[in-house]
Amino acid sequence: MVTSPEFRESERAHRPVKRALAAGIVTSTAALALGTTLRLATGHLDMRYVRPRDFASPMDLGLRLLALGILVLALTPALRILVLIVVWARARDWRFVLVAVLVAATLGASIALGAT
Amino acid sequence: MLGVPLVAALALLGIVAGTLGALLGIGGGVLLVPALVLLFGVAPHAAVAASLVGVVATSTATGTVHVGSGVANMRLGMALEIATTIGGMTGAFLASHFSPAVLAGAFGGLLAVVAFLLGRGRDPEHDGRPKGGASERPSVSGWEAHGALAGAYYDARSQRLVHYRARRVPLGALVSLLAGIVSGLLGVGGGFLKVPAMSLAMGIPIRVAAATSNFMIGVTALASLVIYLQRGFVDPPLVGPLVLGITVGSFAGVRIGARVAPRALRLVMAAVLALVAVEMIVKAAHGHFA
Repeated sequence: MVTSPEFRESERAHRPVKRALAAGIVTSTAALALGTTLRLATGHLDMRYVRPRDFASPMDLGLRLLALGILVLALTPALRILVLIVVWARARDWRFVLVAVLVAATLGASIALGAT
Repeated sequence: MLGVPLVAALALLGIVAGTLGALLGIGGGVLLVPALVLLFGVAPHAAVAASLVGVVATSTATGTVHVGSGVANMRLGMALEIATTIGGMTGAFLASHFSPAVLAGAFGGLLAVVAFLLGRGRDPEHDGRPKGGASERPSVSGWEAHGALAGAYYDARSQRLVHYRARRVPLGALVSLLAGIVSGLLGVGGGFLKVPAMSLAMGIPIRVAAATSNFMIGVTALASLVIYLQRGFVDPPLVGPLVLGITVGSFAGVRIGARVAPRALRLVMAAVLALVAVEMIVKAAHGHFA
């Protein structure tokens, strides 16, 4: 039974982060499992590299689900950062809101540089 | 060509890597990259990219447990992630300019030193001073301080509340930067540098360090993964079954880890680091990192 205020506050703060992570892993796992199964079932056995811009190109449904699952999984840590910005802003912990914003900005720079 | 035997083999590799990663606070990439290259004949850059996806999966899966229990210190992890994301981005760009053999050999030497220090280190929480509500077992196991790099966690084995505060943060950030560069270069999570840095240099209890490292490595890997992804090194048919296995192994590793004593965790980590160090030095000397 929780009686310490610190534990209760921590549990409240951690809950949305845990939900974001769980949503990401469940969604991506489902897409990866379905995509792998479809590819095996339909005889699409080729290995193929996929870039984000390839989503606009024709590809079998299994490959598209696999690529989507990877994309969702990759974006889950970024979602976690956004959730923490909101959580810490609500708690008025502005020092760590700034820290989280800096991390998000660095990831944004990485995405932008990777596209060059 | 993809087939049921290959899918099963990749999934099994993922289970082993995920269990090891969740148990030791590392992403399992130290096992994945050489296994994919040597056993499955995957091209090195594709193996690194696949491993980075696996690291994100491990971090996300274990995060649903460690974050919920309060043992992972999110403020500490986020602060160090400033350095690791810069490092990860740098490492991914450097991947095409530096010889992997040279870097692997140099980091192998560093890992050997860290393994030695970790194996001889003491746990900061064993100071014999019980604090707080140790007589009541909370539904969460830890909390982190507001606006500071500090916190506490309930050690179920000793039934004591263990308080901690981060020391020598600049040193921890420097090692995190190096860990990020290694992550981007070699496709590992960098946890094998972050955990000793937090435990030895910053005075963080090993259980908190391992949980926080697992929390961090997802963002670290993402910083370099986005570059590999945009440059076409991710093979979804290869990555899919691998990540499914990693997810299963990660949850299994978390369950096992809750029953292991901190000293045992530290010693296992030291042994893993020593093995990885030997592997990297030997293979670098034989030109395996082409």
